[in-house]
This record gives sequence, structure tokens and C-alpha cells, in this order.
Amino acid sequence: MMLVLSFVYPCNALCPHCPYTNSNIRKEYRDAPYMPEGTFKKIADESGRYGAYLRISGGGEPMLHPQATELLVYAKSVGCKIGLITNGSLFDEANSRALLDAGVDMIEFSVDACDPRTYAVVRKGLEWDVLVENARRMLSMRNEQRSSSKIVASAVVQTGVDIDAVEKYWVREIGMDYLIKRKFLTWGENTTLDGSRSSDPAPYLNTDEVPCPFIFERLNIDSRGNVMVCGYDISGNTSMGNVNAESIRDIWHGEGFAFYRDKHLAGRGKDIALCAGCPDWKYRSWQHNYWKVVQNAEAARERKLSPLGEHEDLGTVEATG
Amino acid sequence: MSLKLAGLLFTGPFAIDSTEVRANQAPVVYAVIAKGGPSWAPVFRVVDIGAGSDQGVRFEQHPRRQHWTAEAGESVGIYLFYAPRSEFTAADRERMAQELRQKYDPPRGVID
Repeated sequence: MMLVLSFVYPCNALCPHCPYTNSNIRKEYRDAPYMPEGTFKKIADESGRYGAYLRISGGGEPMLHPQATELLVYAKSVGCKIGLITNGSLFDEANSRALLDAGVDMIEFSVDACDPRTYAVVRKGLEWDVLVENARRMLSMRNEQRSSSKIVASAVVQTGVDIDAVEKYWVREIGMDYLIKRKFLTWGENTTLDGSRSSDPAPYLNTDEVPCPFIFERLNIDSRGNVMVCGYDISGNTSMGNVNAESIRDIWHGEGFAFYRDKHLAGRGKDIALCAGCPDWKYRSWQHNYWKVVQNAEAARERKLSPLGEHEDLGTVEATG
Repeated sequence: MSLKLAGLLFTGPFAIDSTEVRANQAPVVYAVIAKGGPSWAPVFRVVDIGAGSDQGVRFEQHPRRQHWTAEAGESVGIYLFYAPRSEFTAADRERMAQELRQKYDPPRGVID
């Protein structure tokens, strides 16, 4: 199971494909810009027992949280797995080392480009040179200390971005373990985005036949501790419960999620207005998902850090006995 | 929270009696929305829709305020679409409100 945390709402970038740049949501969370320590630790304590994955994303740049490093290290210490999604602009040697020492499981740099000119458009407000320097440092430290952390990049497949060139640059030249290619999403009713900038609109699944995976594998929590039904409802129009008042287990197995799961399993997900209007359901996938990324990135990391090195030949080994 | 009405992104809910759009702020098209149903699958009912004037709007003193009432299990609030003067005239706002009223048929229209 994965818990997706809107850990922070402020951001130091204005990316044109971001749902928060293209909505009123940040204004609506001005009273709760950062997830409080108490809320975060309650989530970590409860989910760490099960080795659950905390995805630190949503809303803004996670490393802007005044206690970001401290809280992520804490979550690792109580048994959570951590996937940090970041624009990479705020790493320095100290916080990079702390995250790697703690064994943060996956650090994802949202890069979206492979040259300064494109980067200035798709990652408006950020500096290309800083990104490259911080990514190289993180990779170098990871490789040096043979850390278990996977370091990956991600890019939204959108017009004006050569996704193959992005992959080549970040994986082959810079040395990232993997490139996540993300579909261009609009978050429908929540934003002013439209899908015209997608350069790969082909769906992953048929929404008339296949249930949405998110309600079976993800729990989305905002900075107030409110649990939304899924990552589509970033405005928080739904409330499945609040982790400050209830256990995650009770919310996950509660009446609200049961309602959605039963409808979807019966092939009647579109009876629910929110799901019927969701333009992103077709881009969810039971196969091409975060777990696959984790697996592929881990395989790449192991190859790179194996004692022989990824390009060395083991030679012929004779079987004995 | 945000809600889209006919492609327009509204923000809210704001408390009716303490919300005011002043003359020096961006004018609005407003929707009075009742939220009911279970918290995990809410139903939104459009109670009223209107256009704020260039002089602003104080919802507590709105002539139709007494009709903006919740039914059992509902809460009622104001949602605003900001229509800056640089992009929209007063006539534009009136036209948008009129089109929204036709589409959602307040006070019983439900947002799908």
C-alpha cells in the first residue's frame, strides 16, 4: 500500500503542466501550507509498522518544508519506505547525505527536459545548472557510499519535449537509475488545464471495463490530515476521514472506500459522478505503475553498484557438482 | 476546494455572512452551493447563481439571502469565479451568470 502525502503546498516553481499552478488550491491551503510534525509522525508511526510506502509529493516542493529532512529520516526510522518527489533545486551536501544515510528508498527528480531552454519553459522559476549539479552530487554520493536509495528522474510527456532525448540524457549521460515517463494529466474539474499539450494521449485502460487502481492501492492525505478518495480529488471535495482523529486502518477499510471499490468492482464506477467526470482514470494502470518503477530502478541500481561494475564480464563459470 | 461549473473554475466554499467582495477587488460571478450526501461522495446542489457588480457584493445583505438555506444534511456556502476587469466586463459577468443559471437551473440543479 502507498500513502501519497501532500506534505507541502508552497512551491518555488511555476510549472505550466502543474495542477496547483493552474488552480486555486494553493490559495485554499494558505492556512495549512505544511503538514504539521504531529500529523506526519502519526502517519509514519502507523504505516511504518506495515512497511508502507510514503510518497512525498503533491501540492508543492517537499524540500520547502522547514522540517523536511528531519521528518523523512524519522519516517525511515519507524519502518516506512519513502518515495520523495522533488524538483531537486533545494538539495545540498548535508541534506543529500542525511537522506541517503537514512536509506530513503527512492528520490525522484522531476526534470521534464534535457536542455536549459526547454527547462526554463517547463520548469519555470528553476535553474538548470542547479538541477544538474544537485542531481550529479546525489548520484555521486549514492554510488560512493553504496546507498540503497534509488535515484530516478521523471518527465511529463508533453508537446515541446523530446522524451527520448530526455531519457538518453538523464539515464545514459547523468546516470539516473530510470526515467519515469508520465502522462499529461488535467485533473479535470480541479484545474484550468486542458489536455491539448499531451503528446501521448493513448489510454492505459478501458474505463468501461477496468476498475480504477488508485482506490485499491493508494491513500491520499493533505496537510490537514484529510483523506481524499484519490489523487484526482486534489481540491479535497471528498473526505474519507482524517488521520488526526481516526486510524489509517479504519479509514482504509471504512465505508467510504468500500463504496467506491464495490462500485468499481461491479463495473459501475461511472455511477459515481466524481469518477464519471475523471479524465485521468484511463491513464491509471495496474501494470505500468509506481511498483514497476521501483522494481526497474532497483535492478538498475544493483547493476551499477555490483562489485564487478555493470560493464564488466563475469566470463564463463563452470558448474560444479 | 474548487468546483467547475460549465468549465469555469470556482473557489470556495466561503461563509455567506462573512464574505464580501469589495470594489477594489476583482469582480466575481458567484454560485451559492449546498453540499450534501456522505462526506466521501458529496452531492453539490446549485442554490443560486449571480454576477457581482463593479461596486462589489456583500452576501449577508443580498436581497435573496433568505432563500439560501440548507436542507437536511447540507451545508451552504459561496463559491466565486474571479472575473478581472481586464478580461471581463459587467455585461460579460451577467451573461455568464445567465448561462450558468440556464444550465444548472437553481435552486434544484445538481452538479454532475
